[in-house]
Amino acid sequence: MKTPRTVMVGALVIGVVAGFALRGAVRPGVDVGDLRNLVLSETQRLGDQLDQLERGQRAAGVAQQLARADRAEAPSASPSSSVAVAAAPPPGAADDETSALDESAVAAHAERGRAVIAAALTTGTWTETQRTALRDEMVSLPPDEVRKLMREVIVAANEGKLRPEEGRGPMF
Amino acid sequence: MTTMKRLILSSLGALGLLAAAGGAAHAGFKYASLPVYVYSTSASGGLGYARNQTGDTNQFIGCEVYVIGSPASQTVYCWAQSATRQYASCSTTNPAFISAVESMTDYSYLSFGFDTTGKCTVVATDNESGNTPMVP
Repeated sequence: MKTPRTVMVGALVIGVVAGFALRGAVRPGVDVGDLRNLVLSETQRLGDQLDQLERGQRAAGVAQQLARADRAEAPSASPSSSVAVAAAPPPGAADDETSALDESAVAAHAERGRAVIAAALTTGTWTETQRTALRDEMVSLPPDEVRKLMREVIVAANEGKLRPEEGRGPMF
Repeated sequence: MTTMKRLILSSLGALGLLAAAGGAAHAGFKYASLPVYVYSTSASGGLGYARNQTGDTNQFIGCEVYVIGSPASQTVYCWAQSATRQYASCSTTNPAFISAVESMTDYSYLSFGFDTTGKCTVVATDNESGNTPMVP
């Protein structure tokens, strides 16, 4: 007798709750498209948050590795300095670090390329060796830097300061 | 008999003239000379003509489409050298110029213009029957 009553009350409560829930989910006048958009935007937002978290964790991982390297090199380093290094930089900091490295590599390639041109200008001849050496640097340079180097050679050739060695046509 | 011989000879002569005339018409128009010229802001010349010059290894003209750099991008580079070793060159990343260069053949007549920075200002490729084709 007690059990059926509990069941009855339970069913009643579940029915009422389910009814309200259904009414809330599918209200008259609420477009299904709106609900889908809402779900999509929420999913997108959550995805973005996850990305940010992942980036932060990656940056923190890099920072921790740096901290470990610091500790290995300087065992007497104070704990506070380790903590400071291990602090997770804001999202995007790792990308900045990478681009800074790239910039220095680009600068090095561009510098070596300019050195090849400068050496050629002292003799006034553009040799096959110099052509190859410049190409080797250009492959690692962004397009605007490639164009700068090419233009240096082109202008020098057009002004008669540089000439391809006998029997050679293109300068690159 | 003599008259017959004359008639036959005349006919053969007429046929010969017709054949010669037909042959000349079949040959079509040809430019007599397409040498490489280099001026202060432009250069031009026939690819086939420049290549076919015997006893003159100075003349050359052409363009290259480079795909180079990181990330790789297309750059066109054109160059020319005259018989007197006057040299000119230019480069561009303009897609229209790149298309023009890609349309070149071994009988093209190429001309290009350039500014003081070495940038191509004009690239013209003329592919026509009158141009000299390359002889290997």
